[in-house]
Amino acid sequence: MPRLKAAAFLAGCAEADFGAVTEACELTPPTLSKAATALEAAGYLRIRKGHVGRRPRTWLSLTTRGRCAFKAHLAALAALTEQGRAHDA
Amino acid sequence: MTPQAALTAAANVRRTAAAHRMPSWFPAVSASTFTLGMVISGVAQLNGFGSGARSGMSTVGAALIVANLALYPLLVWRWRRSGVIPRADGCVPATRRRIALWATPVAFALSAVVWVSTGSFGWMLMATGVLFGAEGWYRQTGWRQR
Repeated sequence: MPRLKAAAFLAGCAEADFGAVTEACELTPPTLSKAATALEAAGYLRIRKGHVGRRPRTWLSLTTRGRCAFKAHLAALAALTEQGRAHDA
Repeated sequence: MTPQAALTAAANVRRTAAAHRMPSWFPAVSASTFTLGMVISGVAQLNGFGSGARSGMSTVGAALIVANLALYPLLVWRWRRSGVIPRADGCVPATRRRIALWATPVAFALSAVVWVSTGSFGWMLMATGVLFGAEGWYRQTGWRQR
């Protein structure tokens, strides 16, 4: 779930600061860090170090591959939901 | 967690990110400073003004164009401070994207036509200001419509 939340947030913007993602996704920094590392290892996420003024910031963004994978994942979830509804009916 | 709950959570989080977009005032202020700056600079180039009035208008025109250029780093700075950079591409409706693709070369061509037909640099500046101001406003308002 942390990976899905982080990917969903990053799919809605071009790039986001690590702190902004933890806040919006209601994740703790270690949880997001672990999720980001896993997504980066899969080639879905880009991690960039930068500064705003003197404060160091870590910027996260989805790669093109990550955006495609996220769309495919949402489509798979939607299909599962439909299957569940059809099964119940 | 059910697939439905995961979908809902993903949609909510994505909506939070997409809420960070270009401020509503930006397209209007950007287009008007550019258009006014170019029109005033263009008028300053026309005959019929004294050297004092001409240099005054040129200064005001240049100041407005500099103000327009300064708006962009200001916008990026605001985004970077907030921690979320909105998507500029891929969030514009397809029709707007198609029109915006043609709008820039058409605006260039029309400015050139005005320059050639009037033979006046001032009129060309004014036409460029109006055309590119409108084109920029159209493109930037498209970024807000997702």
